[in-house]
Amino acid sequence: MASFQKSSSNSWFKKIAIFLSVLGPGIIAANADNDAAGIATYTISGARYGYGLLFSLFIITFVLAVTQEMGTRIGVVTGKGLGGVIRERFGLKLTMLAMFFMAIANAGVIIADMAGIAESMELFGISKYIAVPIIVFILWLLLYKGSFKRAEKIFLALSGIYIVYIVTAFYTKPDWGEALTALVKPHLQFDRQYLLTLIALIGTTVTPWGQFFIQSYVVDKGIRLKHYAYERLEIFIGAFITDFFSFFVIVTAANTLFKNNIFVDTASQAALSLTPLAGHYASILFAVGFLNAGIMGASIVTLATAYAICEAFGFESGLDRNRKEAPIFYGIIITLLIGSGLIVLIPGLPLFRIMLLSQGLNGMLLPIILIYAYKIINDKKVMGEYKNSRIANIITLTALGLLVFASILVLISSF
Amino acid sequence: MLFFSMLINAKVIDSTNHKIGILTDVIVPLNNLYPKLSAFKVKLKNKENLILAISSVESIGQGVITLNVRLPKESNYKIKSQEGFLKEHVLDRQLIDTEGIKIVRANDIAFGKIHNQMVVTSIDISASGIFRRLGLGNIPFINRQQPLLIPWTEVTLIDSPSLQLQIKNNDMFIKNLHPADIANLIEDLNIKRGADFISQFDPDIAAYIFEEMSDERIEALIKHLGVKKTGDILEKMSPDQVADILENLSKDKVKEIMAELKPEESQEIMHLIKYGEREAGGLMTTDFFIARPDWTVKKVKKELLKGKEEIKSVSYVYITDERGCYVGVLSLRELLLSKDDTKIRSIMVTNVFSIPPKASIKEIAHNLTKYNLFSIAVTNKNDKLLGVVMIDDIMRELFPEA
Repeated sequence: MASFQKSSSNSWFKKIAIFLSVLGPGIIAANADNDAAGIATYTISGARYGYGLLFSLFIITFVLAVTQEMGTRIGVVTGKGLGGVIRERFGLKLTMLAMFFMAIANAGVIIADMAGIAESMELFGISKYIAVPIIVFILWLLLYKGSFKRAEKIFLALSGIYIVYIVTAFYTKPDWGEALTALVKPHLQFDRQYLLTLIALIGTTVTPWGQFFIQSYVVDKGIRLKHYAYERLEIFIGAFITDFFSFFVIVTAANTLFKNNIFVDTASQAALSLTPLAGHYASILFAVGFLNAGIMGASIVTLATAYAICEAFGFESGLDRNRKEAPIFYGIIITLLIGSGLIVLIPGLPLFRIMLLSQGLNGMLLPIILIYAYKIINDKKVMGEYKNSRIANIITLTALGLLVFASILVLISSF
Repeated sequence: MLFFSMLINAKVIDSTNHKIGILTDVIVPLNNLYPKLSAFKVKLKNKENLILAISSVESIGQGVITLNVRLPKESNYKIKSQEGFLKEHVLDRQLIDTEGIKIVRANDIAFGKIHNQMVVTSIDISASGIFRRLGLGNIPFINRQQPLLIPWTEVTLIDSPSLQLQIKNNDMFIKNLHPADIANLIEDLNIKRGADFISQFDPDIAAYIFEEMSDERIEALIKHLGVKKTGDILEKMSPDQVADILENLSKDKVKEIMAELKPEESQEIMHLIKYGEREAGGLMTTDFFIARPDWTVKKVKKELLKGKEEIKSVSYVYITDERGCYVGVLSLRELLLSKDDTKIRSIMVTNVFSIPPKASIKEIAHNLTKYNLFSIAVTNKNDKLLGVVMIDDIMRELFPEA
């Protein structure tokens, strides 16, 4: 029997089986990154700057891979969510600070996704004043009645609709050589709008909530250190998929909106990018995908926020609890849903602009959360031999430095 | 009430009223019912740390500790092995509330006086504890909540190495918790820590806990427990349950685990795995009591007592001949009411009823109800007695959520 085991553990078949068993966290996080706010940000960046911001995707992929890998490693080694590790490593006051910034960043994302929902409903010809309250109510039911796990799978499947961007990108016959060169050729422009869009691109992909989400996900899945190498590969593939997809959205927007000088301010303008492929149906196609991405983003980020806060402060949490058992958990959920719904309903609010701004805010708050993760992953007491490598540290610190630098530039140029 | 948050960073004043430093931590024996404070960790102005015994403390007040010694220069207390630091080991950590049976986080720690000595009385898990720690405890508008205190006697540390000690030494922990409750607690933990947690119990108790968990959860836990420990636990379970668990695992894994079990046990399990989970063959247990027709009542009783560890249920005594064929059955009531020298042959019921291993769950339930039985015999074509399906195994299948 011993020989049997030996031969099978070396076989490719077994390696693939292990890889499939750890599959999930990276791919799901990648998908959730492409929420309504993400689509809006990519479209705006392509529409305004053509291929000008494509180079950032190349860098973002590395930063995303490194940060998600860090979160995964902390999760696998400690068996705890990021909120819990922060609380035990940094004590109450610093936890409070981390949770405060995370909550602000997340609220921004939820508002952005709620704005995406409102915009897509307007494309269907339904007023946001009717649509948003109904969607908020449905989201609450979905989360409260515990049917979320099933619904989540539907959202994920529906997000496949965005493959139309890849098809459209090819359909518009772009100059691929130029697009690929733009990926590696940095292009810098020192005006506020450009820098904000750049930060938003980073902030929509590498998110504070994503750090909490990926870590909780691997903890929940119970991935073992032994299979960590496979999980890391999965994370890297997930990071690649995220930006592979972003690339096509930007290329599509560049070849349609940018070429025709359409400055995207509304979803109906953003939907025009799909016209070459879908013609008159572009707006419907865009609206369905956008609505789905909005609902998926709003619900996942709401849930991730409630889980992280409850874990850090020790309140009962979980969708298997009822409102009496976990009042704070459900309190956070309902506050976020209703609050973001109300903000979106403010008359005359430039919703598309809000989406870009919220992602910019995420990018500016990201360094704060990354500093916590950086401190934890270099703490031998917590991580033991699984501390960060020099290269990972250099990439993280460089990304941190660039983000802080760009954020300061945006803030300065705002005055 | 005095809370730990009021003592952390409190001024420490010596007997001549000079501030010598601040209090940074408190040392207590972690395994006591109401642990007396044994020493304070004090950070001096020159950044040096001292451990001062409680005997050198004159008074403890909110924000200020007064000593009865002058300018202490060195520690006067040696920390014992079962002692721990409240800030380092307890505060902000996760604990198990063994009464409410859930995982909580220590937001603050409350002290009280027993026999005029300062002891740890409870853990505050409320939001109110958080506000107090942030120095907002006295602002009524923000802090409307009452503290939610859990007595120290009802909490157990999960993270600390002392947990092992507590589970091993503290019978109360196990007596207080039904295996079903422990199973619920483990469902709340993540898989890795759940496995750590369960591996601290004796295999006997771990087996009981396993019985209360879903097969998928056990499957996940087994991956973390390792083959050796899994084998130890499974050995304590009945073969039919082990078969149910192993059925979901990969063939390689089953082989690895089987190698850890006794040969006769693994053979039985392999045999059971071949049957469907919702068929008599998959549901039946093979740990049941068998008697021979020529035994006396006295011998049956003696044998029953001898084998009581292994036998799960003895509603009936099943009787087989030398070839293992099912020939009769006897209720426990009949056995107890019969005289010791009576031969089994003369009191057993001989028009016996049995079902084949392929019988469906519905058929079994139907027969159990029809004949008012607590368990039912499973035989093969040649009348050989293979096992017994117990009514509780059926109920578990029919109402899995209970």
